[in-house]
Amino acid sequence: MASVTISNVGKSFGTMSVLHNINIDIENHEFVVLVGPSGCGKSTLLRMIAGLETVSSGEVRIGERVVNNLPARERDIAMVFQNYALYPHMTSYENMSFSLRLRKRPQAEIDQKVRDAASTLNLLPFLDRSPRQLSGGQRQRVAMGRALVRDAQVFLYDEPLSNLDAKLRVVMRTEIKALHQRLKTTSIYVTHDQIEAMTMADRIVVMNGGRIEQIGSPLDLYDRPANLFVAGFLGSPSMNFLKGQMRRSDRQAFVETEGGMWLPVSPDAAAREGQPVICGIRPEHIAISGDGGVPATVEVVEPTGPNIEVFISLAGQSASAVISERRTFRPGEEIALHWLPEHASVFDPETGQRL
Amino acid sequence: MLKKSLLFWLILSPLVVVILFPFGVMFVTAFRPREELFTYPPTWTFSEFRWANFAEMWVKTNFGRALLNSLYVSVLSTVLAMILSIPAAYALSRYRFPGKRAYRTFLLMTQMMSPIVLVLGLFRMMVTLGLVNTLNSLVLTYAAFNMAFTIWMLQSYFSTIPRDLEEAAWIDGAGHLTSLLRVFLPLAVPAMAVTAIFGFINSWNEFVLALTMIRSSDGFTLPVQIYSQVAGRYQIEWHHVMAATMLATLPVAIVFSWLQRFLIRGMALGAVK
Repeated sequence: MASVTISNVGKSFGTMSVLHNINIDIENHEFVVLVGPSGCGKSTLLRMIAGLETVSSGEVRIGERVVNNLPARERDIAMVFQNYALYPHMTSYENMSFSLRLRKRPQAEIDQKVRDAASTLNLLPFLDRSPRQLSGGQRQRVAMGRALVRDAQVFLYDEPLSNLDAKLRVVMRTEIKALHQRLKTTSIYVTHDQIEAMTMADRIVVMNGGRIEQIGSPLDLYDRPANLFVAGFLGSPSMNFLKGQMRRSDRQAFVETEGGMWLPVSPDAAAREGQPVICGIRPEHIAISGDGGVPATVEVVEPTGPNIEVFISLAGQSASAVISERRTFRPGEEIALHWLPEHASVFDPETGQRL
Repeated sequence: MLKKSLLFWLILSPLVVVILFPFGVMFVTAFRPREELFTYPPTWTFSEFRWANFAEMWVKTNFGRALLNSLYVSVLSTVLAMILSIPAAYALSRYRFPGKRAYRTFLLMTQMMSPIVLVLGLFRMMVTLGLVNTLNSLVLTYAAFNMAFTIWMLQSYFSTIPRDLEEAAWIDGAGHLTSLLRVFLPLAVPAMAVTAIFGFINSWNEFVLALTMIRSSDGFTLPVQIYSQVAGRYQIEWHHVMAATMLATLPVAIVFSWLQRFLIRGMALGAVK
């Protein structure tokens, strides 16, 4: 197992530059998730670490070795592909043992390792089947098994769960995480699904437009997003953004909306009096009561089971709140909203940065 | 369901008749005794299966020699075309290089040209190479003519084999050659088999170039040999001609039916997703 260091890495295809100056230090044993919308460059970055794409500038290091010019087969990494990429003309056993056979390991060792991996992944009954005789979830496990038998320095995952149905995805998510807790192999995981990122990662790297927006632990990113993009990308339903101007009185801070509503925000926000800002508040941080808070109107109510999601109109801007108590709301009902000022972030509408 | 398919067969039947008629005539004529060749009105029946027709024909038309010539030319030209086409098709489907589009268009355009347009030029080229009247001249020209088609065909199949599979092999520790031999080519077997069949049949049936390049009857391939039994003869032994034609079509039919199992084997299924 090894650390992975990515310093000042850039990638361009011809004149088009898709990754700009990427810096990530991934520690030994760490599980890092690269997350972002499609086209943000996360898969390209993973493929550069794997050796499937060339590095245009900067340096990729696995352990102490600079691997920029090392072919994939010499990097000692294992990778799980989005579409599994199982060899269709080989059985599960042959698929999993392929790398060991290439390295001419003794048959007894190959057998031992494949059976160990297969029993970990509950694949023992399927070792003689070819990929087309397996279900999606089983194929996914064989792809994992192929990585597992390797004892590789680093595991790379390229959206491994995106072809599974919703239920199986949740199961496999937990299994991959449990597996990592046991094996502690340094892992880099690419996904566009923010829930996967939040649930699995030790650290999340949020990417957008070929740049890193923020790196941090899941809850850090969730609670203190560095900018509007991260704030909006993580969390479902996503954060409410309300436009207004900064107002301060005593030790308190507010954002005054166009309709003259005063929204309490954290007094630590580094914004001048009167500066145009965006107030960001997560739906689950909003509490609803009959009176005494910020007035709003109920528009649509969506019960999800554990929670009720209430879509509201607040001073002409739309927002949503998620509450867990059982209450009935009528569309058009006047309600009052409360939240703790420290839960409301303030962003600069020009730069998108947190203030 | 049954009614529907009966109806379809009924609609198709004129076509079936047109296709099968020459084969029927060939079959009947090949087995007839010589005296019954020109009975009037023509009939489909004959008094005996005259197997001796084949034996006589074999000796009289020097059939064995022509068969060997045809086999030599068809097998070698197919092998040569495949050996050269596989890397070319792989490069076309996997790599980006300048002039790729132009090259593909060029391949397609050569398919639209009839060999007869080029026959004079090719003949002069073979004269220069000193290959006229040798079977190798046919091996070279057939391979060349087939290659445009085989590259095109292989290329479109190769492109359907997911690149991920090779990448997975590289990560598993395989070099380019190993991944090619152990992952890529086994998956391309169906396409290579089909392409080879087409190449073989093309070479087997080719007539114009064989007639041009080969001057002495020792080197005749089957189509030319059979033609020589008909053209410019005072008396044509039709039962021999038809027996020869039947023997010439049989190997192709056998090869085709043996290899067609590769056509239906969708090996790439289950590779991804």
